[in-house]
Amino acid sequence: MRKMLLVWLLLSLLSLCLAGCYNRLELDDSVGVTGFGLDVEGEQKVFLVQVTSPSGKPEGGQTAKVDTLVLKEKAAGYAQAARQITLSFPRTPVWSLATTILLGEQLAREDLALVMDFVSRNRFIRPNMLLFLTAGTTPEEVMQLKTPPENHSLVALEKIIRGQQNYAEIYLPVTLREFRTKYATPGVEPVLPQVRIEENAGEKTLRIHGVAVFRERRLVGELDEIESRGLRFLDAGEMRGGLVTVNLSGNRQSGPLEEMVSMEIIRSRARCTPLINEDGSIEMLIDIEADGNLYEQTTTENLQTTENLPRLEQLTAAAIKEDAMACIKKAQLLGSDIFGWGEIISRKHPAVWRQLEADWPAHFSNLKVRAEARYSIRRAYLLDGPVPIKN
Amino acid sequence: MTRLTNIQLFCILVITMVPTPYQVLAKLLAVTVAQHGWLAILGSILPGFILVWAYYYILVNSSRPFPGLLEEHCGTVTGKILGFIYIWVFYLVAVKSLVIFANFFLSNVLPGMPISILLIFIILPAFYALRKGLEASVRTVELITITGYPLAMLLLFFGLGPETDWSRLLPLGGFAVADLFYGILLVSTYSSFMIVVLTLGPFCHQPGNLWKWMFSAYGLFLLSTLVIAAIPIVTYGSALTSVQTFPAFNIARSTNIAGFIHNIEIILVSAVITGVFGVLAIFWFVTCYSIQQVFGLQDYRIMVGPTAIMAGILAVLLVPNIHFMYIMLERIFPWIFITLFGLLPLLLALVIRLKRPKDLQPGMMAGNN
Repeated sequence: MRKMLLVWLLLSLLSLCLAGCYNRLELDDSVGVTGFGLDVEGEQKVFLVQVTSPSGKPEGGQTAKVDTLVLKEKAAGYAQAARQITLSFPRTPVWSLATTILLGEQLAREDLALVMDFVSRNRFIRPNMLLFLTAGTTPEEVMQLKTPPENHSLVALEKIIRGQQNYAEIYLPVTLREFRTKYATPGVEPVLPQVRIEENAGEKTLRIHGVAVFRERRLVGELDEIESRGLRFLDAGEMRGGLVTVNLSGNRQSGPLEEMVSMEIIRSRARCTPLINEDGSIEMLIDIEADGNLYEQTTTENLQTTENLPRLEQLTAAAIKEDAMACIKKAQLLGSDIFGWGEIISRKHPAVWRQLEADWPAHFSNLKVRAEARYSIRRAYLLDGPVPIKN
Repeated sequence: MTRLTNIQLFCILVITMVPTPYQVLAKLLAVTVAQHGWLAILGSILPGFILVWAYYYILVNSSRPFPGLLEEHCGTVTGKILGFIYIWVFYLVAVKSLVIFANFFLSNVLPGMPISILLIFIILPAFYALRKGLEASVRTVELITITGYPLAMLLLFFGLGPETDWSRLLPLGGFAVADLFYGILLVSTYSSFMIVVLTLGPFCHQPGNLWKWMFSAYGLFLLSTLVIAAIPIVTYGSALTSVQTFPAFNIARSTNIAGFIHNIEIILVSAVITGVFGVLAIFWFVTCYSIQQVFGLQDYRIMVGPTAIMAGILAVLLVPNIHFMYIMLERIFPWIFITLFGLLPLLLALVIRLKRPKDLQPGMMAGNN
């Protein structure tokens, strides 16, 4: 009898599960979120969300047209603003689908602490979301922008930064997890890729342009394209891909066009070692090692000779070093240790770090740097020499 | 008498020691010793080995399972008093596992779920397993260990992203020795959960080989805690790890396999649920079995019902909020558990060693004579 009672009790309880998930959300009541925008306006925090809005059922084999909808709310807190959206929007946003967060320039200049708790504590905000800073524009303008063939600008943005990783190889995508770790760790400052709106022939387009540099919770400056490439070379992890253009004349910027050679980077890795001199001063030794392929040449000279290959290797190594040094110089100028050298010193020389920590930005700006770059050519794709010219 | 295979006992030991540290140890160590959690784990090896020796020594020199063996070695009155205290501490571990799980689930998965419903869903299967007898509970625990444990550990590795930096475990210096010792104490707290072997060891088929399985379980515990403590540090750094409520869950949230498998932390939740079931079922069984031993009851199963209701109520009342839970986990529970599961058994082993005549061979184990 007791056994029957227990079975009945179990079955009754299990029958509760038949109704479906506890926090189920019907498709018709929900809407997909592609990303958020976070900014400040005066004393108010601005929360924006880009949602997908199906604008009608497809007919006769057509695919459904999907519109972008940007919802905006202001409140004293981001969580408050996000919840206020439900006061004017009939569907429940599925926050966990979001992949991108846009930080407004105003917010970044004011204080990152305004937003860090919200993006770290909230369980709907995933640690592998991508972060961007809107430079010279606002998150709202970026979210509203049409970016064909993509329906949503934030999806486009994600694809752009991932795509350039395979081809242009200038910017490193930054996830919330990485940004948060650098924000909270002494001896390293976070960076973010910047997104701008550019106008070409009356048409507005999105472009990733430069890297935003932070110091002590605030935006302090930016790296241009060359410096951003340098930042990539200085990353401690193994970097794959990239293209460096060198000029046989030695002048990279304005050398003759017919002497331009494009060298592909297959992989590169930087090692940064702090050296404590006898007088107590610190020097950073940077060793960048890269290898790659000859990708494009305009000169008719055969570069794939025993004499020319080392020359090309030297020119490429010099170009890599130049980009890296440009980045270091800019970071030192801004007083922002975006390379995590302070963190490296704290691990290798904790006693020294304890002396430097309090005034690290100033020490970082005056740090002596000795950089070396090595580049090895491996292959040259389909040609073993220049294309022959008749007569 | 129910008989357990050695592999079943190994699974029981793993499941009693690993799930709770999986949820909270990374944070506790980050708060106490920053990035040196791994050092505290390495430092806990020797105390752990001593504990394993003490448990094994007590086992082979006793003829009754724990806590009955306390009466055998300490006299009836002292044995009964100690046994009574142990009943409450075993029960506390069972309730504590419920509290941690409830906070874990309500913080990360379904914040709006009524805690009573959640507790019922955990207590009810454990209640059923215990009512069915030790064999049913142990068989379930065996399956949980084989399926849930690898999954939970694997998810931690999948959560490692490109920004993972193993050098975050350094530098070695710069910590207070007292903090390191406290870290060792925290880790040893969880290895001392192996005390259940004193109750369950006598049910084993081959008690002679028991020490091998105890050492294997302890080895796996060490390896697991190293992974549990190190991965959040190399991913987030010690500063961020110390402010996260459940660092392992945050690692699993970042899982991205080949760019298209993500949002799979619910798998971790299911692994944790089964792990918590294991801890609860084993410590609950040991509680009821201890009640039977101390009060001379015929069957431990009559205590399963009343203790089930009490466990649910206590789990709600034990801590008012997650902040207080971490205070308990950091400052109160370690001292209780290390005293009763570590120091007292060690003392008991020494007493047995001193009292035993030199020419006498180790005695027969309970259930084996």
